[in-house]
Amino acid sequence: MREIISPRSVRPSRRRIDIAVIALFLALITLPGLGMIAGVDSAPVSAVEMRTLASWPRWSWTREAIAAWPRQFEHYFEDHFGFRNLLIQWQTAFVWRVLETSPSNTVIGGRQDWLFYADDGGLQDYVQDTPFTADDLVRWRRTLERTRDWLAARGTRFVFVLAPDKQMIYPEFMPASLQRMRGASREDQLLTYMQQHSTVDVVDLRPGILSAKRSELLYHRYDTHWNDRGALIGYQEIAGRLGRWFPRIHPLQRSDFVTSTGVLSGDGNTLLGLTDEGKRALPGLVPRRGRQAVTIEPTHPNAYGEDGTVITEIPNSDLPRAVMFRDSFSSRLIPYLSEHFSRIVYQWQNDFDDELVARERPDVVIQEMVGRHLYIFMPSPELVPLVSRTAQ
Amino acid sequence: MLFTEPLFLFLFLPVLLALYTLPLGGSPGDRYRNWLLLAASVVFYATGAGSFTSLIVASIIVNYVAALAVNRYRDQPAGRWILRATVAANLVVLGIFKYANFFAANLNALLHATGIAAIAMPNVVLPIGISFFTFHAISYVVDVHRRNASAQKRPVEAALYLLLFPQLIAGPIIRYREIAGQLASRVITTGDFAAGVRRFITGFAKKMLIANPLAVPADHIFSMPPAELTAAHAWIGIVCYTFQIYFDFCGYSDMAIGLGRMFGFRFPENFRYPYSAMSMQDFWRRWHMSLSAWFRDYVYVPLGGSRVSDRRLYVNLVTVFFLCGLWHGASWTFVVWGLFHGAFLVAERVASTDRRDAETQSEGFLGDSASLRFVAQHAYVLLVVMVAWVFFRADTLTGAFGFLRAMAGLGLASPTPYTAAWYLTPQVAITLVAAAIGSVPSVHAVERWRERVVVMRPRTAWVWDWGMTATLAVLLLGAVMQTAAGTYNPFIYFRF
Repeated sequence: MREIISPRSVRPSRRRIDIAVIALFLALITLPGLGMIAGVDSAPVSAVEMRTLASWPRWSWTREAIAAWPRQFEHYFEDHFGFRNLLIQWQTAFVWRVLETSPSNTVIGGRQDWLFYADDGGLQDYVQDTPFTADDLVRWRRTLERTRDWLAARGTRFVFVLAPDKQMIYPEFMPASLQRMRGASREDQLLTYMQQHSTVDVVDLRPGILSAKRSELLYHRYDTHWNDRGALIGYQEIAGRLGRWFPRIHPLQRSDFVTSTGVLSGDGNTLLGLTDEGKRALPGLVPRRGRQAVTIEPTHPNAYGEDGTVITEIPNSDLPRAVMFRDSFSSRLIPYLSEHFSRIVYQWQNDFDDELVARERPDVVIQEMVGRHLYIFMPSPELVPLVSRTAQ
Repeated sequence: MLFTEPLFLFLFLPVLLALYTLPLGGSPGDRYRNWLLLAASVVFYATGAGSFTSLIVASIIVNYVAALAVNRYRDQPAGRWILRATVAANLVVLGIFKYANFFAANLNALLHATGIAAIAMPNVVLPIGISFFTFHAISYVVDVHRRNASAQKRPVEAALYLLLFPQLIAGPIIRYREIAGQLASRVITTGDFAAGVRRFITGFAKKMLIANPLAVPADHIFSMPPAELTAAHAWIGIVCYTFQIYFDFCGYSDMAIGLGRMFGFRFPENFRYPYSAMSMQDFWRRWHMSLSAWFRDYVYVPLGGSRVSDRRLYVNLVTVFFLCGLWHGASWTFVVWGLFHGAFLVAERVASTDRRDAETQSEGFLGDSASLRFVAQHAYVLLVVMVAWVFFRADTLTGAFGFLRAMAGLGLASPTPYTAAWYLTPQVAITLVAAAIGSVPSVHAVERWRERVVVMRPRTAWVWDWGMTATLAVLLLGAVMQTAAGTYNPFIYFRF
């Protein structure tokens, strides 16, 4: 027999509890709105998310504008309600630190707290369940050979560089629950195929970096790209290959650099916006003798280190000229490579641009690509002009 | 707009509550509040449905006028004809918007098989909430005709019944007579409002902290090619989905009931711990109760209900569940889901008639062990329900069968990089435990324990009360954090 003491009849303490619950609820649902009015989280750009946030929808009296306004306002509100950043930080920290799970599906949580980027081909680059078809490989070869031939007709050298993704160098930190499917990645497929069927110069940066990893950390725990040390190894491989054509290019050595605590070695933004304590232990590399190269363009560098076109020059020099088609992995190579060229244009794109090359008349064209882009990028041979019979 | 979106939680709701609780008394106050709710409901619907708002407004006008006409001509044949026409009109609208594509696809398949050219059909977009809206409208007009309610003369209140935003998109399905009095005037006490807040927070937490995290592995596993599924994959996927759909739906119903309570409405319950059911009949007395009540009153009973021969009763049951499956979605997978449930309900009825005869002869075959029977019946219900959910969730029938084969350990299990462990993250594991605890009346158990302790030590009552409040606070904050995280959209390279 269960006795029920009436818990629900009006008790002063009950009323106090009810008021507390109501006050708590109202506080939590009004604070974000009030915060937004007060200007909390009103910044137009998010450093953590790497994007410009939605802007206030403009009003105009056309039918389309009126129909579109509610949705635009919704996007604006979702990007700017008060305390949004704080709430997201708390959620990320809780899910990652307490629940030990990656809070985002673009980030893979690995062993010993390592994080890897899953987007942009990153996940496919590790699981390797979508190999190149024979047609894909032929397409790659045609594009690279066409590029080499067109450049050769103009007296320009060409080298293709594959930069390694973090999961290629530190696969031991990837989670055990994710399995690699085949032995060979698209990088291996491409390299083997090009070695067997072509004479285009292809540089694989993996072996050098894999052997250097035994002595020090080349990628940070929460970063996506290599740090100064990893980039230095990669640069030395590239410079070594260029040195065969241009004897004046002698790769800089580690002894040419000092570490500087004022400079962080690693990404500006880490994955999930978490601070990587390991970066403090490995400060950035700065050349002893200072830099010779001067950045001509851009005059005001982008805060995220992502300028579409970067041009450096060494004044009064007869060093070779170059054009480099690149992606984000070259950002750390630029300070090193620029020291060897009187003028070098770094263009952030994977595709070839013949007009740029025609304007610049470089001595060498370097095409750098991170391995994971092989899973999301297909080259277009038709972007490279065929070699014409008449001399330029 | 959805209850779990920032725009609703942080703008729409606080502004509406502020305007609603202005101290206006008497009947002007009641009318003001109804107008306000109606306007808010239109805004709520229009932000999600856009131009379909005009469709719903037209439907409200038609049903309002029809109900008045049915009221007037109730005792004449004209009344019956108006009723039939209105119900038919409502069903035709639902049929066009929800089932036209499905019908055309099946018709074309048939034509293709017979060599006739297919019919081109423009893709029809489904207006949000139309299934619930249609059932509300039909129940209103039919109840007026059956004298269970008198037609609402005030257009604002009639419109408010059909458009009331807490129940508009996803129910519970509320009978007009249950709410008619409340439409006229409502009193909200502090206790009511607090009860509404508690209910809302509970539902919000169920959706954001249990349903949404479990949706991630469920979605991934159900989109894997069935050939790659191991038994572990399939079972993890279906268990996650089983909890996901319950906490999603129950959570949303809780939010709707909580919101209604905040505005002075008492909505009927929609869920009563369905996963603690002991038979499939029991399950349907606990799952989506407002829908099964609707089907009982407007389909099952008109077909004769239980007052017919056994065989006729089984046909009626199967018909009801066929329609119930179809109501959930325009696809054969939903129909199979409904028929699967219907088949078990029929089987249980057959078994119970047999058992009544058998019990006079011998003991039940599981012996006298009550706990063994408890476990066995419980396991039986969960197994049937989970197998049925496979059909509900799968995109195609072949996919569903492939999934079931994997569950039985008969799948091909071809290599995949995504092991079952990849989906069973610590977050998912903890959420599953929480879901299991939340699927049985654990809060009631805690409350009963509280009663016993408070009898012995009355002064500890405040510990419990404030403990529950603190728990609600944590749940609300967690759910709000998840909502914020839902707007997080990071890139690796800067996007302009």
